[in-house]
Amino acid sequence: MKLTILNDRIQNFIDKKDISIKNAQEIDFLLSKLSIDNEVIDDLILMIALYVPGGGDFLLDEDQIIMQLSKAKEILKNLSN
Amino acid sequence: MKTKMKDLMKNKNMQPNKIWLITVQLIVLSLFLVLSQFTLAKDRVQYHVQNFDGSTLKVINEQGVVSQSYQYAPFGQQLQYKKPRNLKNPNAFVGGVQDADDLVYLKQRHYNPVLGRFYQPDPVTFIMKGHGQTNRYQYGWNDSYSFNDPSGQAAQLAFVPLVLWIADNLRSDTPNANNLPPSGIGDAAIAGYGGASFLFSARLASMSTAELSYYNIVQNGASISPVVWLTPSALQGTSPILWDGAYATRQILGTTTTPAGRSINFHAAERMVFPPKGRIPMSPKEIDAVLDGATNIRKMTYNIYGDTLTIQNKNMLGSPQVIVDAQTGNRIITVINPRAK
Repeated sequence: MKLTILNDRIQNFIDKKDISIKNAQEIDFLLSKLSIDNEVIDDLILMIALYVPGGGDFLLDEDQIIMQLSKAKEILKNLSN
Repeated sequence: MKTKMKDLMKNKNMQPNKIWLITVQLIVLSLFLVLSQFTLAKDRVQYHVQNFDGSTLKVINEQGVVSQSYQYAPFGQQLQYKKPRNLKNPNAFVGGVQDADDLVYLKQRHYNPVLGRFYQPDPVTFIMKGHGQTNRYQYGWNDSYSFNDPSGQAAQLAFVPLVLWIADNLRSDTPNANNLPPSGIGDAAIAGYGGASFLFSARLASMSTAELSYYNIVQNGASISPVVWLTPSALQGTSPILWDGAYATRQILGTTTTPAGRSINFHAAERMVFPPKGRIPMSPKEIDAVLDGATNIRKMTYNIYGDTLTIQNKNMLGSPQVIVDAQTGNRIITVINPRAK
């Protein structure tokens, strides 16, 4: 159930339907609930902490997050299989 | 000898053909120049028909033809089926400047009308506003029916501009002498809009300086220079106000530095005070504790603005992480708060 919600939220972000910080933080929350030990996921959590729509000094924008989310999506896909 | 004679005769026949060809080319060129002047003139002046809150509904060109029409959803998303080819109309939702990415610049902040959210947080904190709302990215307290926010700084009651607009139109249906356009243009514009004179007079009330100058030039009989599009900020009559991160940080955290003197970015301050779901807040003192008692550097991230280091303290509860700039280590970029148990 959590994995389905997580995948939906990730997909919404990748499709740029919802690139809000709130959605990014919800992804972070759902990932923590799944307790996945993976470097890509750890990097994603770190990147979400640096995320602001549009980016800025030392911060990341939505395109950089989407790149990492795409990698994370593949890992989650393997997990569900 | 015979061949030479033939060549000469050919050349003589060619001469009138050449002259004829050049004449035709000149005529075509002149026609093209004249027509291009008309085309340019068509887009030189635009009349914006706005509603009470300053949103542009129609754009009428010099010929009196409605060239662009706009419809807006409650939060400003444009609903017109036929999107204008060019984005020469800078005034869109609540008079904001619309850029090529469909974001609306509302003087203080960029606003995304599709999301109904600003891209930057409110420069005025919710504590000062005392409205009890904590989301500083929302537009008009999430109630665009009652509030609007044309300045990007503070939501205001939406009916105030409506009352002013009605009062303005009741006061006088005919524009004053200084604002009067040259005869023909205004009439054509009114005719093009089906005789909606009250709307046209509303437009005259908010006529830009550029348009008034244009009318003065026409009335004085001076020559009209080619198209002069003013910059959006000039049209708005204001210049953009820069975001003051230090001020905003102080507003939510009470300070811009940790007790050890490390500077705190606004983004970090926001996460410290309003932690993401499932995480707990952090104080400036805890930031110092993480950095002074660091157990490991988790990661180095490369960034065009400067590299960052992610520093962790596993001895602290929840193993919090602090991200600092790699060059000095004294600038707190963001924090990864400990998770709530």
